[in-house]
Amino acid sequence: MSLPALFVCGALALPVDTGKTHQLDGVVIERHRVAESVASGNATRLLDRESFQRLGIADFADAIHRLPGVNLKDYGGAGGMKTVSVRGFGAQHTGVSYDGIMLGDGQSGQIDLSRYSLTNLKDISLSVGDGSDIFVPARYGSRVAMLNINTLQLSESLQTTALRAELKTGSFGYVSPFVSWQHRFTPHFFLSTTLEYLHADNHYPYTIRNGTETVSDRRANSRMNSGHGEVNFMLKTDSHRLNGKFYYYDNDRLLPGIVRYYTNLNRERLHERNAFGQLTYQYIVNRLWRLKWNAKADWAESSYVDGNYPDDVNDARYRQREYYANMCVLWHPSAWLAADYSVDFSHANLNSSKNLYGRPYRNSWLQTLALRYRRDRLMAVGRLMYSLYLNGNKRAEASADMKRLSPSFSLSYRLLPDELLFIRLAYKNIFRAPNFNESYYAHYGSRDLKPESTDQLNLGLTYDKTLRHGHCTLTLDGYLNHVTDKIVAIPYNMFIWQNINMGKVEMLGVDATARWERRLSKCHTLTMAANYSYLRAANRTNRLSDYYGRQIAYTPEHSGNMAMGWQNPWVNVSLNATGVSRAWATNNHYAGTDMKAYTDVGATLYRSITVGRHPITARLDLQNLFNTQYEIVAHYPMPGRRLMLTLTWDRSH
Amino acid sequence: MKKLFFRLTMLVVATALFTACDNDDNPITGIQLYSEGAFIVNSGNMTNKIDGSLTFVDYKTNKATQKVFQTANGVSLGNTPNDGLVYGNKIYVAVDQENTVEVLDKTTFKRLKQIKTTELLGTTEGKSPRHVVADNGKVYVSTFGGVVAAIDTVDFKLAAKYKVGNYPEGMLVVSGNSLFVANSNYGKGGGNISVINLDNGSVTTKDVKGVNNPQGFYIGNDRRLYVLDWATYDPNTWAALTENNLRRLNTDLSTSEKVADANYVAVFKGVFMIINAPYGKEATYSIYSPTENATKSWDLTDKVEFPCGAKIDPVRGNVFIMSYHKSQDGNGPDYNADGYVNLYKISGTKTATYNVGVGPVAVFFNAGFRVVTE
Repeated sequence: MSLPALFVCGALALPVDTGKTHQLDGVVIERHRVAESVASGNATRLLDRESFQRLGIADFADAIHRLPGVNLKDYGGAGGMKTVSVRGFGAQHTGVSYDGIMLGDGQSGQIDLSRYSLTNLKDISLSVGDGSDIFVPARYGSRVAMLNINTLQLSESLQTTALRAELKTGSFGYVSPFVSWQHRFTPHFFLSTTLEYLHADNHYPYTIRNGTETVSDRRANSRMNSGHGEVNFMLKTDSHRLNGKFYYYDNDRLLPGIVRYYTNLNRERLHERNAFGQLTYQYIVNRLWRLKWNAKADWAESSYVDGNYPDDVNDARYRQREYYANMCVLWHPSAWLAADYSVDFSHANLNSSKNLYGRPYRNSWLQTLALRYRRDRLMAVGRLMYSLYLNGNKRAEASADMKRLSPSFSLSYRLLPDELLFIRLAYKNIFRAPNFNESYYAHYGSRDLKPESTDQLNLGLTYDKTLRHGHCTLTLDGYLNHVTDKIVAIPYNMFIWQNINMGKVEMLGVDATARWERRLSKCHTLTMAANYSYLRAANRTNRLSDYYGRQIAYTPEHSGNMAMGWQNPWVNVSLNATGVSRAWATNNHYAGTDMKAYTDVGATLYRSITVGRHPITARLDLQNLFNTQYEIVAHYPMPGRRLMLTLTWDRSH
Repeated sequence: MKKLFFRLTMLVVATALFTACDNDDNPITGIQLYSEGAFIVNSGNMTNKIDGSLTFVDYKTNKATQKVFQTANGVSLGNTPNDGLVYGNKIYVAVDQENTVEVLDKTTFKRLKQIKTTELLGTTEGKSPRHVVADNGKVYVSTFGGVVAAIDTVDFKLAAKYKVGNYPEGMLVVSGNSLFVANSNYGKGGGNISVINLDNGSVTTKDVKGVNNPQGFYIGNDRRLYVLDWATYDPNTWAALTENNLRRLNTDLSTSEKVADANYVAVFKGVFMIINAPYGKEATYSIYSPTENATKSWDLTDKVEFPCGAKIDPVRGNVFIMSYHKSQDGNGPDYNADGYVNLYKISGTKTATYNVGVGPVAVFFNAGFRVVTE
């Protein structure tokens, strides 16, 4: 509790830890006292485990709502697909990394976040544009924004064995046990395993309007069973470190489908499996040079069964594989200068039992050269990226190859020598190559699709202040984004999307965040966090169109979240509210296709007690306290009021 | 319904009493032929939150009224209505994704009954009602569950259920006792034709050479049966394996011959108006008369942008061509905007344009005959 380095302020005070690089990348260490979200030239935000508790963050989707400028597309319930888009860019522009290596999804280009729980997470961070950490794979620069998911690391202070067990149970038949085990075999070798299982019925009640009437029903055909297991190891000496992970995920879920007025019969089923192995090796060569290698082999299968239609006409199985290798070289000649060269290669392919044009594959070569200059009150990072996508197709015609040079830079300047007041400016130009679905999916795919090009310009002010009895952090960013040749995904159903080349979109937005903490007395602390985003994402495709200037589909103009926590010796309490303004399901704002504004209020109670020598934490989350009925995706109602009880037993020490 | 139209048109031809059908009310020996308006079924766009609807075009006022079902009943037709008809004093609309057949009063549009096909036929066989026809006091509904249900038009109970081929679509009653059913097999190829003997309830399902994805039937002025057969596609490359065409069936249903390339056809007095709209190309229009065995170009004065179906009023000969509007932000049709219908004379002269809802999919007429007791 008394760690001054944390500023008592948890999440924002910690530097963004993208992969385990910081201990090695000495450059950052001197900055440890200043949060990355404040000092970085680009907009970043981190939520750590401490915040999950203090701010009452109930689940992964809830965590996403606490990030500014982020729009979560949520099909509702534990089994509903969840994807994240940042500042009006499509979800495919958001890269997601898991313990330092980016997740690939060549098929749809978007990661379904419904598979992640907060149970074993150390932190989640969002970085828009390129960050000040330059010792990262080239792939990190290939997206508009990166969402970094970091699991609890193997603790180096660990003496021998640590054990943690958690049980979550909640409304609508939700049960999820979790267990993790860590062991230090030698001073240099650590091993850990985690196992997680989740069952949810998801038969939650909902109401929808049907003209003058209200239809009340429960979601049906929505049961899910999923399991996830990992084995991690670490081998470490003073100058070498090797981390490895084997990951397996299996999710068999029934899909409730779109709600309708007069029937809730649906017989869709989706079974997804994913296995990957990854290795990260880091080597401090000498004072000047550092090296990092990453390698990954990934296999994923999704099997879709549509029992609504006889003779398996819509059933399909998709399998994709990805092989990935990367090398980063950091040169650090002086305290004020660092340079990095990173090269990434990946081979991705996809095959399917049907609906796919041929058997496409893509070889990607990405290279970045980055320079960081830091002296006195200025930090400047410049990056140049060369992308080369070689498209092939084993049984049919392939899309054309794509190559491009993409620049980015960011500047951060401390305005006053005695205050942590920064001004920041960042620019990034990047493009997105069409994914396999967009290029090759039956009917909807087009080999002629052009890559989607983006420009982002961000100007921000950040302020960090340690007060007598607390701490506060404020950030304010304004941005101007531009997308040309935008490929717009319109849902055909939850699993299949229809792709339209919509043309141009211009986004103008503001993200503001505040975090304030005050110690009332020795045992009482108040924490408050808030974020607000304004986003105007205007269709700029055709000046003569009636729809010119209209806000693009699924993009609310205003969104925000506010959370307050009170830590005390009895039962810690937090309250939070998310508010989102009206959005449209269609780009032309067709009458009746508006998605109503909503607020979702939640409350959390938690406390730890020590039983024997080990703490047990009990936590109760009440989500959607006022039972607000809303939809984020058209005709996919979100669950109403619900409870979740979490019991955690920790034998770490 | 098609049978009704056919019978009506035959009546028109045979009696020769109606050389001009311009008047609504021509008394004929106690029977009056009438056509008062047209209904357009709009499928909506379910994934984008646009409900289906029913548009009524009133011949008297020359006006189209949108959402007549919702206005009269306060509630929506629901997601993806697919077909409809007027039979007697009632309207029947098959709503695919809701698993319902809505029965309405044809003048007030008030719901008389909502038939849940999954309750009527079970969840497997009752899923996705597709098309409706009527004959002899019964309404026949095809479902993607592979059955045709005969529904009594008085008590709305299931009168009979016939197991047909896979994914049945359009139907036609021929000679009063045979119900022809187009089994599309979901466009996978291998579609076929079922013939239900309405007298004894037997069903014969036949593979017909040249027929792969049948959608509906028509009777030509040569009194032969024609089928609209849509293209089938390779499940992997999605290349077309067969074409969209109109085919003439031979009498024993063993084989068929291609008459014309066609995506949509409408028939009037046994003569076909044909729309051929290959994907990504401009649509072409032609007229085919079986007795003359001749195809000629059908010159429309003002064409629609993206034709998606056609129907001809059997009494008045008004041709309705449904269309999407062109997307304002692209070159394709706009699936999220209201569509429209153009009205033409048989000669090809456009007489009116009416706005309809999103995704127009079927036209049916408030037409028929009624007994006049003067």
